[in-house]
Amino acid sequence: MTISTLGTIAILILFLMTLVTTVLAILGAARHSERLTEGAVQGIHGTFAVAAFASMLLEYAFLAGDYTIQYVQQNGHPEMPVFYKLTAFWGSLDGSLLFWVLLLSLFSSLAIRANRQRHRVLIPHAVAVLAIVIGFFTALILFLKNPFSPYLLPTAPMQGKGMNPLLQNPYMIFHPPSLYLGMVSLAVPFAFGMAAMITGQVDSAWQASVRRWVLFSWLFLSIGLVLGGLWAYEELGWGGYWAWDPVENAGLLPWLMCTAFLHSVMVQERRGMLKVWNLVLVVMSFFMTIYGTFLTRSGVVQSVHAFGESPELAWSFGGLMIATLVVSGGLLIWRWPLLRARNELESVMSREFAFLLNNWLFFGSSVFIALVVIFPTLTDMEGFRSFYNAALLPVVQLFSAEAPPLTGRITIGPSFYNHYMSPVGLALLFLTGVGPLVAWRKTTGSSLVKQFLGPLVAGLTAMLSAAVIVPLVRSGASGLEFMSVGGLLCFGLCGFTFWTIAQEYIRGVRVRRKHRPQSVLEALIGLMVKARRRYGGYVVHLGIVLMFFGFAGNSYKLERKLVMHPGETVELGDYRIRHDGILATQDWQKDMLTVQLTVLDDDGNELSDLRPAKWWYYQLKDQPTTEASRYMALEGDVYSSIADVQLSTGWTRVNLYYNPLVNWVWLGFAVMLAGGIICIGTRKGDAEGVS
Amino acid sequence: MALGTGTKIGLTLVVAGAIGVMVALDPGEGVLEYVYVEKVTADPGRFADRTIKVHGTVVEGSVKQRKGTTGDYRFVVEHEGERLAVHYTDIPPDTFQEGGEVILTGRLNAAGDTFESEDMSAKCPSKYENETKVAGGAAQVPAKT
Repeated sequence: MTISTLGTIAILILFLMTLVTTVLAILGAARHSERLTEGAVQGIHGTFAVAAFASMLLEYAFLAGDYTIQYVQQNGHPEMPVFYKLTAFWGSLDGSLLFWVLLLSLFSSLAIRANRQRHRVLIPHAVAVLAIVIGFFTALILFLKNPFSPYLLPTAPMQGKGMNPLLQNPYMIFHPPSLYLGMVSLAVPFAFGMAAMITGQVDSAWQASVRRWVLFSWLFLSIGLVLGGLWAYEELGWGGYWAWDPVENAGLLPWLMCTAFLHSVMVQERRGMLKVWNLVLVVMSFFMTIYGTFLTRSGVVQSVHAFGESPELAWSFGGLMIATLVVSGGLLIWRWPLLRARNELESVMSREFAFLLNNWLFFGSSVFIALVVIFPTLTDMEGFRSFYNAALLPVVQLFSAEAPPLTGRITIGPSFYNHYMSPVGLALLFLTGVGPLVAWRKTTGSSLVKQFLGPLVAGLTAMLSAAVIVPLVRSGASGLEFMSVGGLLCFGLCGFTFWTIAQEYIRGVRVRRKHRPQSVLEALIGLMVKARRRYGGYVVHLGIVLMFFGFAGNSYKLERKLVMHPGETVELGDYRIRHDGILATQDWQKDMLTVQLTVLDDDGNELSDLRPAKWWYYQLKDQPTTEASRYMALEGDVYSSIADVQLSTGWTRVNLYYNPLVNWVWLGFAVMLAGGIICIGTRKGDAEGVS
Repeated sequence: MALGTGTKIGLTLVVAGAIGVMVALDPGEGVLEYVYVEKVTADPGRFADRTIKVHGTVVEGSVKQRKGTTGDYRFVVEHEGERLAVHYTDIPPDTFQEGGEVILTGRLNAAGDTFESEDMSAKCPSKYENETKVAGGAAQVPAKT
């Protein structure tokens, strides 16, 4: 039997198992039968075993070079390093769906095992939901995108095409699976949320079980998003890391929903409020993963990394999205009386109101981005254009009289997203700082003054420093000239929020030292151990502040695109860049032209070499790849890439960028990750979360 | 004690006001009309003095680059049998090639016969694509942001 046949049989068995598991789970729940439920639980474990077997078969096909399988032939190559052969498994659409099923069945199995005794009533319902979702993806593989499909030719190809060189990059290898881990694991909270609504057990108990799952998803979505940014920064050569590409947005949408949930769940735990809202967020987090998958795999939007057009997948994912909204919406309405809040919002000067605002912004941003991503596709439809021009345009024109009617398809670029999302980002940074300063229920005026004074002074100091040192404010002919108001605000808010976090640690350390004799470091470690969720959360916030500090650097970014010749020196801000020649080399994979640049300081001292290059892979001769090179420093990167180069004359068309503070983004991410890991280790009974 | 009606109305007004200000301050730079080559050649006057995005395929053998001080490109794009000359002054993405699909951002020149562009997306060679099924430039790599 060939691997192709064996793999297809495994997928068929997997699909049948999900059907049987679903039926057993539904019957087990309806008849309150332990035996049937146990059968369904074993079914979920079994789906993982079969998915793992099918995945190993595909891996084996890549390692063995079985090019009779179309998917292996299109993505594998005998000379590809073993590491890339293994990761080619999820490198393309069909395999990525199998990878999705593998992860989903693994998480389902783990979640059911962990909660089998704790939530006995919820289990059959959660198993049914998870089996339906696994069954959906397995059906896609079986009927539309089978990675085991063989070539139906009398002579199969002898060699594979291989993975695109542009993507043979460590960041690109770990970026998709990180996003998958984050997205797929959101099915678990969704399943438990649905189970809670079906059974009517909508108290906080189910949320305690799913909070760590959401945190897990959030962590991996964060890792995936940042790795994608790092890949773009180092590989594409345009000097940036985020371009609001629809596929980047696909990962961001559930991330925003998860972040909202991780905050709002604390309000329910503490004050018995936002029960409906938390259920909505759990459903919407899952919905956004399906929506993101729909965006990347259906071809309905134009994107850097889209998987190509597939109307069948578009309809399938569309159906799942509608079913998710209709069923969960119906359950929510049915259970509305049980979801009444124990308490009400008492004051806008309260922590719960700060959380509510934060949630509106996260939720609103996610929905806004989701709509903007799909909007250009809608404008291709005559009916939608008529609807927009008749119903929506008059509303838009109330605020912007010159807004034009839609006459054809439009595109929406990064500047649109930046215009709307930058203020939202700054507002969220402000709320990150405000949260710890206000009390639950109500904050008194005197307490407000006492709490805000230090952070306000820190914020103003940061703003003034940026204005003078960068300088973001200069005196010109017409008075003071502001280089970037947004940048100035961002620096100020970084200072403000940083101080609120520092204030919390200082207070905590003082209290601990008052009660027992210990050093500052011991007290600090004690805080982190005793109240991991709260102080781990502050570490996450500190990471966010550092990332925003890095974003603020964009306000004085420099960019030069020019032609250089060997021996020539050009200026880039405080640096000078010297062209020292071109080097032609080759290895077993490619021809390379490397430009030798040297970074000099103001006094002409050599600081570093830059080696931007163009590579021509033998495999893809007509598509050279751009290899960026950068001089990294905490104050900023000197970043270079080559647009074009002529070996005979030394003529070089070079892009030079000065990216101030960019490394703080990666540093902040590392801190945020550390905070997330501290939080995920939280045990029941730990002190309240960051607030 | 719940929030008063006045507070709720005030909050609603603040949110609506903030959205209104954002819309009013939107310079509109991020939103561009997206057309295929034949639409531009059919009615060049309609697109005069406007930045738009044009989608087409780079005609084989049409790419010429000046290796002087600028290194700008001249080539022809076509769609549905209609052709448009392009003068491209920025750096093309790695995926730019003759016979490949591109989406150009720019304006028609005064004569209406050449598209002046300094931003281009070209079809991505992504491993995620099944080349036989990609149509309509479903995937691109941005030349820059």
